[in-house]
Amino acid sequence: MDNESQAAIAERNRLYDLAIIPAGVALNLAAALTVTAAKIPLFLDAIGTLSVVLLSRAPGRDPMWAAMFVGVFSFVIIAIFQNPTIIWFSHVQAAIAVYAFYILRPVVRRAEADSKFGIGWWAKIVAIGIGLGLVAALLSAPVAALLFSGITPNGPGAVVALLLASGQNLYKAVITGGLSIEPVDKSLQTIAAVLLYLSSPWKTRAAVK
Amino acid sequence: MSPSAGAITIVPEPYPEARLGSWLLVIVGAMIATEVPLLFLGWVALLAALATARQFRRHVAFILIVLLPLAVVLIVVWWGFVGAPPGMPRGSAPMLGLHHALRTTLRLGIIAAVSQLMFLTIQPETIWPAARRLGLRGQPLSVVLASFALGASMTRVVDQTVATLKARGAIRPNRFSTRVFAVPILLANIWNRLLADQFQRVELKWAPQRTLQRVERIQESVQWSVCHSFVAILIALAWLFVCALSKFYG
Repeated sequence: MDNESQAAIAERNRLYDLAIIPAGVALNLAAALTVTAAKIPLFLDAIGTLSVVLLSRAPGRDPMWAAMFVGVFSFVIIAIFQNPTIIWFSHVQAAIAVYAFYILRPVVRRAEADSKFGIGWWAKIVAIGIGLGLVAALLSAPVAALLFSGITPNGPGAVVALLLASGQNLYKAVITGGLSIEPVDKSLQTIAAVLLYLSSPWKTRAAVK
Repeated sequence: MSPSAGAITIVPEPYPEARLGSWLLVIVGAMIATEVPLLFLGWVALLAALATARQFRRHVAFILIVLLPLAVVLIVVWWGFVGAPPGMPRGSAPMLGLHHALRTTLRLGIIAAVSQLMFLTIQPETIWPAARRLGLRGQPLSVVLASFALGASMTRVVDQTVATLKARGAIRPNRFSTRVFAVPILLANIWNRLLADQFQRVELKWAPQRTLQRVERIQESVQWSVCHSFVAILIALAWLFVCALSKFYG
């Protein structure tokens, strides 16, 4: 009887783990929609990806695969219904999932276990966000240069245009432009994802069980 | 059509593999091509195909929101400011800079148009079998379908949350600061409500109705058209061939 109820709980947890994936996709889309509607010059397109990495309790590397799916699939949906050119940046979402799984998740989980969320810890989260921004800027640069000639529909297009006008070569301008916006954008997203994780109902459920 | 009905339905659509293959071939062709008139002709042909498939309005929205502003900036930068294409000294060849800007714009137009043609023309009832045919099964397939299903509730949650924040005066359209500060509240609301919706779905539908096990057992019930597949691949190959010719002999 006891075994049976444990099996039922395990099955329910597995279903919850699957259920947060579509919620992550929807959060990515909602954040992107909100930023566009509010006319804020940021991407905010990976909060769902980061939140799923933090929230998923699946074993092994499954949270990473789940987050990768969330990131890539939300770009596929945006590509189908809004802007088809965004699909070429899907690899950045995959990299965000890997980075968040190996670097962000352990830091958050350790702090949660020790219940230590001091200023030093938040500084570490910001530093992780800046690192994520560097990764995103470097990975998106080749696509931005080769496909878009440096001028992407959103993000650092204006900065790149100014740098090109000032005489910098294309690749330098694209990388510098990316580095000027991505670290800010990604550290904001990392902070947002951590805050969402710390306030999410999943934690309440885990505590109740 | 119920996906679990078991009856085979023949649909006038190319096989999913042919759809993906021709999409890739057209994009490779556009990336190879360097001649602006050829790219323009390819784009116009795709516009005609989009109009025939009744997806023209969506592409017009893309042109107005994304492509046109991008084209203006590209032209201003590469023709006006830089005055040369990448790799050449600044101001040395303004016309080549303009050519580069137009080529980039048309490539993006073709990539967008072929993507919309290939993916927006999939009938809703064939998404399920197409995903299965492309190797998505079991849990990933369930998650894909659940993500599409969650789209409607996401739009509702976003609209309701924005309306509530506006009613409370937390968002004022003319103030940038209120819009920025409203974003975290908005996202927290949206995330918590989406999670609550999903957990409710698990408890009321997925677990009691054994949804995942049922998805696993569903058989493919659609037969795609060989003729449509052949035509799609043939046109894409012809485009690739012309683009390669123009690149090497143009």
